Amino acid sequence: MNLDHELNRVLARTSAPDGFADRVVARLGDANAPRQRHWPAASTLRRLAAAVTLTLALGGLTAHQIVEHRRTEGERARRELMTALHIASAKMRVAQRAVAHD
Amino acid sequence: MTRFLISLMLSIIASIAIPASAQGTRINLDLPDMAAKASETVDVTLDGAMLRLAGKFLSSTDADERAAKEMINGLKGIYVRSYEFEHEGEYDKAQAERIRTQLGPSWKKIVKVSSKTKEDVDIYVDTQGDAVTGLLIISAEPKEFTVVNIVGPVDIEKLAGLEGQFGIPHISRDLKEAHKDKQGKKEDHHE
Repeated sequence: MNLDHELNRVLARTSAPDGFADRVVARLGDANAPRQRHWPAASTLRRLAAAVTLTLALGGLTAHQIVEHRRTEGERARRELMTALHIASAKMRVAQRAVAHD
Repeated sequence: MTRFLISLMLSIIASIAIPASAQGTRINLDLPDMAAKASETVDVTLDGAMLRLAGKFLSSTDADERAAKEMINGLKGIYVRSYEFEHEGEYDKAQAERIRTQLGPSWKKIVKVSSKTKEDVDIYVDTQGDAVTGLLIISAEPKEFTVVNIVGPVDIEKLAGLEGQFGIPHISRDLKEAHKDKQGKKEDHHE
């Protein structure tokens, strides 16, 4: 008996509070409205730009140093090669001269 | 699994064996005793990678460098040690033996020039079949000792031909011209 009474009380039909429908419509309107984009602050953008610039500058400098090192090495190798071939050909010349005199 | 292990071991052995045979003509030219006494030293060590790098920096318009570029094609290394001394007899000529003892049976002496007062030059070639795969020049002067080791398929004629390049007069051409001059003078005398 008590259970029936309790169920009737809980499931009893009640009307919505005042202004409920207006509030629901207002919320729906907010959900459909375009979302606002949140841009980072100007200081963050400046830091980001500085980091990118610094990375590019360091990358460029390193690349330039690698190319310059390669060029120096290549020039040194070229000079050494010419010296080596000069010495080798000169010694061959001595031998050829001796053979030619025989 | 066993097959895989066997093939893996064979490939490892092959990878060790192939470079060893390809680099067989490299001779250790270091003579620290000589380097310590020398007043001037030329030390050139150009392995395959450095030769290729040097080749990229050789001019194709300069005749000397063009000849050098052709010369190094296919070479695996060029090594030169040259020691110059202030006084005669300052180095022990027997030190050259340290280099000669490294030469295996594939090495053949092709030229030996002996001089009491000037320059002794020995030229050896390393051969595989008919192909020359290496060259060693040992030159001993009273005040200078030079060794040159070229590793790889050396074109000896081309190397000797470089004498006409690098501003060095061509010996065979000079000899011919000298011979012609002599003939001309003789004919003049006869007339």
